Amino acid sequence: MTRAPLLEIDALSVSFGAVRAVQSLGLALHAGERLGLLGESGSGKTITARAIAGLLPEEAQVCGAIRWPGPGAPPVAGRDIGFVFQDPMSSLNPVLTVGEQIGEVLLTHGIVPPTQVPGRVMELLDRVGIPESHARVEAYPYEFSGGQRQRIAIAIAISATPRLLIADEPTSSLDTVVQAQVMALLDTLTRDSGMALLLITHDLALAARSVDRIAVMYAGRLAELGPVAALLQQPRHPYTQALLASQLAVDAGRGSEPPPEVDATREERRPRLPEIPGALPAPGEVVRGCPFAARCAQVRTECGERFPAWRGDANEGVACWGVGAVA
Amino acid sequence: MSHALLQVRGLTKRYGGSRGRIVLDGVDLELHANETLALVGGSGAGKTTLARIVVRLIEPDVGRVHFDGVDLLAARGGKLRALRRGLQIVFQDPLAALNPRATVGRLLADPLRVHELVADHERPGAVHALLARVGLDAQFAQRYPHELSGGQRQRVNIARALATRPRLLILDEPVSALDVSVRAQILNLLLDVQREEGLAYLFISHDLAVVRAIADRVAVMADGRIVEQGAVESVLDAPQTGATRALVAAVPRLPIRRDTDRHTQRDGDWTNE
Amino acid sequence: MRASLARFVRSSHAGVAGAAVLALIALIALSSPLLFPGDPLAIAGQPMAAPFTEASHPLGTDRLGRDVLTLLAHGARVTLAVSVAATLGALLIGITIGTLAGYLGGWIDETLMRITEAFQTVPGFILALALVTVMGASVTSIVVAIAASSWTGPARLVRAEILSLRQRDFVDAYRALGMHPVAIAFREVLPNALPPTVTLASVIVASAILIEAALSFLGIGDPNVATWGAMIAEGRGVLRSAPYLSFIPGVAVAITVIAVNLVGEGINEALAPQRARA
Repeated sequence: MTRAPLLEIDALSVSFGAVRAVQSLGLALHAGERLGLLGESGSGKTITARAIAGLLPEEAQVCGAIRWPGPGAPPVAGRDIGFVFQDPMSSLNPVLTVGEQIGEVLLTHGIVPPTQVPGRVMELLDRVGIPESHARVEAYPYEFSGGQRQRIAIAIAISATPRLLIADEPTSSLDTVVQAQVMALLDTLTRDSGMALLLITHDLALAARSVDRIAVMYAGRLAELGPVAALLQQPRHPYTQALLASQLAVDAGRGSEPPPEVDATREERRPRLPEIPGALPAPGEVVRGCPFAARCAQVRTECGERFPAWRGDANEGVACWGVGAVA
Repeated sequence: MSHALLQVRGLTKRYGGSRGRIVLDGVDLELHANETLALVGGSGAGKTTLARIVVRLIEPDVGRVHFDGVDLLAARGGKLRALRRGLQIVFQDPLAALNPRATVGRLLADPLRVHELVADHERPGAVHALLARVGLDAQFAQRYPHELSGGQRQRVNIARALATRPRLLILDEPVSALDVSVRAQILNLLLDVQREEGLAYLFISHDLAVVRAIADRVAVMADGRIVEQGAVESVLDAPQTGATRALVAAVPRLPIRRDTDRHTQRDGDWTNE
Repeated sequence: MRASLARFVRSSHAGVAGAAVLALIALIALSSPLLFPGDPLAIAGQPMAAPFTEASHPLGTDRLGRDVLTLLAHGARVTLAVSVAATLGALLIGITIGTLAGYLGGWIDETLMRITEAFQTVPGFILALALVTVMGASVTSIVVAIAASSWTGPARLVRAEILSLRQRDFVDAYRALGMHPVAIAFREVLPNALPPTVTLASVIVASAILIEAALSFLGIGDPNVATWGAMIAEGRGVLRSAPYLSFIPGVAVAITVIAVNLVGEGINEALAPQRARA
């Protein structure tokens, strides 16, 4: 890609005291692109997102660079970067009506003249699919369902037509059906407005369905980065491979095995599942070399000594000693 | 057909008085020994309320629950305690379900002590055996819950529930709070335990892929009712009701199947159904 | 526990200073029979000797010729013993009632909380005064009176903590196990409610010292033991000619109360981050 990216992260490290939350992370995000930041607990995905939005707590020690190469002033969180949190109940103010909360953002950033605020609020509620918006404008957050609250949080996040929308596990507190609806909404919004999306999630299938590229993080490090199709068809990092192998399917004919016979024993019908042995490094645990080495099926001697160099660029690549080496 | 291990009839529960919101509306359910029944549905469908009634944490307004032919809701005192031995529960949040001030050893000794299952001097050995049962070594007995990983905590919860050698284990979203890479370990542990001890599971989940991997039968709940039930394969592959179809359609699937799969690729768009 | 102690030492210099002062006072109190043997109420020399004038009576003597330093040391023993015993009594009553009310709920909670409120409507000192008057002046009755007037604070605090803890899954896990409700409440839930109660205990100790001093000052303390309150009362008659007789024990009361409060604040700070994280 030749055009300048919207956002460039270069050797980003974030520590809290002795705890290294993110270590030398580099990637680029392009205008209008949807990037999934995939990881489990302690992977550093949320810290990375907060660093991008400038929402890190004061005690965080940050080094590396987060650049916005495009023309114009550096972005302002809340205006140029919208943020949707995991729990809509705690991100919305319980004592203000949803109309007041959306209106407040519009006024703070001077997006529309005060006289046009009510009209724009209604328009935003319509856009995120709140039915009968004119009647619900005066309602308080507790009067909405969980899914509707997340829609309202999204309306607030996009009210200033940001260049980047960061959604941190936006559907983890919702059930599957509502999750699908909220993801469909995010999909429509990003397609229509051309804003970039950074989706933070632990769910590979969810990310794969919603974004263009996926960044796989493990224990504060970027393990693999690449377009969804490439990542799913030819995963290069053993962690990505293991995640794919442990995906459970809801549809018939999981994997390549034939469907079980009717008279199959229970063991045959419900076989043990492919599992990744071991556990994630504990928070604050200092791991020498590659943090996945202890659980990796393809571990080599180098893995325990140094973290592998990044093979690739800011758009795709992998950090693994096994990649490119003679097996 | 042999009689059911768990039989639920007409279970009804409202929150907030007789005019309150109805969470269970005449639920009928049967679960046989050595069988896994999954209870699925959206949030607010009544799954957790049903589970809590079955383990007598809350009382229903109307309905009957029989465990092994005994009227569970009428049991009191020592009789109820004896019934509880056969019927244990594992909660969703493995940390919240463990007393933060108790060591793992004490947590696992509790059921043995309450039900007087082993002599005092044999208790440490029994605790170590329970730990081994769930794949943890003896040194974990000295640890506190906050010192464990999510997967280890859920193993402790499972070990505690297994301590009384129950015939029915109620699993309320046992893996949904766990990291993806440890989820399969816990599901395999549950599969192994069932294979070796032949106990029945009532498995509450919103994740249909997990349900397909672990359950024999599935009951779909919506608005406090069971709208559809049957063998897992038939319900998930050919859902008969709108509620089930919506649940199945909403599951995120990998848009491109792996090389090893011979199945057709799926379109990558979200449906808004 | 060890981590909390380390945080206490690190985070609260005032708390450490308070603890050091308290330790010194406690050491003096415990060793007073050795340092100043004999009956502290016995006449030791000329009456009304001013402080720093005689080597044998460094803090002087009172109207009856009793040694002020001896009285002060023995008084520390009684004052600390009474306040600690009264606080333990108040905690025992308060924690028991608060735990039962919070965990069992329903009519038990209603009844116990009405009783608590009834006690709270009477100011603590007036209640203690009335009880000592009825029971007669003795160290035991003073301890009982102070405990009876101070247990409502811990009762309400523990009840509130237990009410919120009762919602947690681990309590349901014990219930599903078939553990007896009283065992769940006291053995499993209560220990989780104790940290804030420890902080409150220091407040009760401080107020117990003051109540004991005030009772003795009013002349209804135990006449057979030396206490700081009685010393202040004793000096009241000669306040103009010998202010030191009231001033010295008054300073002792003030220093002790401040030290206890500093320790309490230190404990509070040490426990606060732990609770925020939990």
